[in-house]
Amino acid sequence: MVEFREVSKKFGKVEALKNISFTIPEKTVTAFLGPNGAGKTTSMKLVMGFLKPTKGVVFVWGEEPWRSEGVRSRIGYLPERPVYPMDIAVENFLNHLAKLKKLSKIDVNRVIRLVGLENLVDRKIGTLSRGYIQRVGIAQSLLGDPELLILDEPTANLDPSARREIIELLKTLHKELKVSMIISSHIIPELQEIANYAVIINSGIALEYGYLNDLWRKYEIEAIFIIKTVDVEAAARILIDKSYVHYVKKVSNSLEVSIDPEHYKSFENLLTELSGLIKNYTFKTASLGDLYEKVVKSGSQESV
Amino acid sequence: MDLRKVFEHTTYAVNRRLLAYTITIIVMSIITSLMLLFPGYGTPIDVWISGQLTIVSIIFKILIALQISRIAREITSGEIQLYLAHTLTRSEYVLSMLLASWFTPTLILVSSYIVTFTIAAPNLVISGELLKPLIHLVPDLLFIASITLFFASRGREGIATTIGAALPILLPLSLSIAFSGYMNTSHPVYTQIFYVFTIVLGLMTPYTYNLLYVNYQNISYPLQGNLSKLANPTLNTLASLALSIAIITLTFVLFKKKDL
Repeated sequence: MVEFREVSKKFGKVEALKNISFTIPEKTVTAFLGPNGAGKTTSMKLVMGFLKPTKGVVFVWGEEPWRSEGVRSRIGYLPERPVYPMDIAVENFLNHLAKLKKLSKIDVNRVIRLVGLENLVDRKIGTLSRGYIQRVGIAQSLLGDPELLILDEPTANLDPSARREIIELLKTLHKELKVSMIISSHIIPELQEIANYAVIINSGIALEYGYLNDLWRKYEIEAIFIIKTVDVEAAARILIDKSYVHYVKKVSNSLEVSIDPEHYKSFENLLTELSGLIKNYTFKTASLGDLYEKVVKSGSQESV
Repeated sequence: MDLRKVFEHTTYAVNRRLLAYTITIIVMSIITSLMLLFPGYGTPIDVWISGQLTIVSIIFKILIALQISRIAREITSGEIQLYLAHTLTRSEYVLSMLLASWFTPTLILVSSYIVTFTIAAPNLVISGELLKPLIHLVPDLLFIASITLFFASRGREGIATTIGAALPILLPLSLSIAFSGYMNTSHPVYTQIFYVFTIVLGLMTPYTYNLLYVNYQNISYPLQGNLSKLANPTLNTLASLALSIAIITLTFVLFKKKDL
């Protein structure tokens, strides 16, 4: 879907991206990870065709967005900063963008409902709180059912509850619309809940990219499951027998199970087989943060 | 280029921006109409009437320049990305902003000429005699729009605003001095300098150039300068129009490559 082939981007003397190469396949939710100034926004703007690579080529569905402006019609974009016209009512703004895409008012109403802005459509954007302005941003990015959503720091400058709401909203959108997403953030735990693919970038260099399952295995990151069962003791006895299980810990009425990430899939299959015993389970691990740290550390060691 | 999208974004920009200047536009249109009633009913255009019309044209030029310079703000703030992300191309964006900021005010001003003259002297409108000033006024407004658009599209709001606000005042003033200098100096070097300035500045404000040219044509006492050596106002206006189109074309070409 997206391919960066030896891409460099310079702004004057500053080199924001240095010969960067990576790919992002279809139907993934990609965590675009890196500290501030790593080159995340530059990469996203290159995907949108707002910037021209100084060197190399960016492909989006086989086309160069820089040359083929039509590619943008298949992408929804949420910019990093709230750049919306503050003097316009929410509905008027969304109606205008919808008209540019030849969409009807029905489409506008649908995204308004989807992001929960029904009661604020007549309000001027400038009078909304940061959290709701971000919802306006997400609403405009969803217009026209894009195949790919590019969300640049969707939770930046939001308070914790607004951040939570936005993450829940993105999870719902992915579940309901099955849309591919590229989400940048320097707050890693947030992305962990939705991402299944990652591109890790630092100082304009792509340190690593790939499916999270593969990256966990590659960097030997521990995977932890929280399992709710009808019989904690019985479930613990079955699980501890498995050779790839590191430990089983009882936490209130649940089990915390640490496994070798290479057996992630087979462990999930086991839990499905034990559906009579297992009520539900969640994948709870700090692995994305751990992964990021390991990748950055190994990247800096390589550069030394 | 999708003209439907251009029209859509032009309407949006006019509704959002130009409506704030509605009162100014209405007052200026009324002044224009009142001044035009005199020549419409047979009174020759004197210095007072042409002065009023020049002031109105200056205010319209400043208005156009201020509107266009806001493009720079949309570029630097990143607001433009929202419109481009919703399939508007770069060329469609620039064209729609030009139409909203130059074409719409110009259309209003031209309408006030046509309506007034149609009421006051329909015969002279049909013959085209009373609409002659428009031939010079529209390219004059376009020149200011093109030069402001060039800097605004580079993201230089400060330069675009300063130039856009200063040129409408400085150009007629400087051209008047240069024209007067050329027509009233006998010293060959000064005459040469004033001549060059008159030609260059005339390209930038063809409306003022035409007014000055016609005024000096009607002066009966002997003058030092030779009016026939200067470009004919129509030729000057055509050259100005060509210059504006060249600047706008360059703006479009450079904007296609600009990092946003």
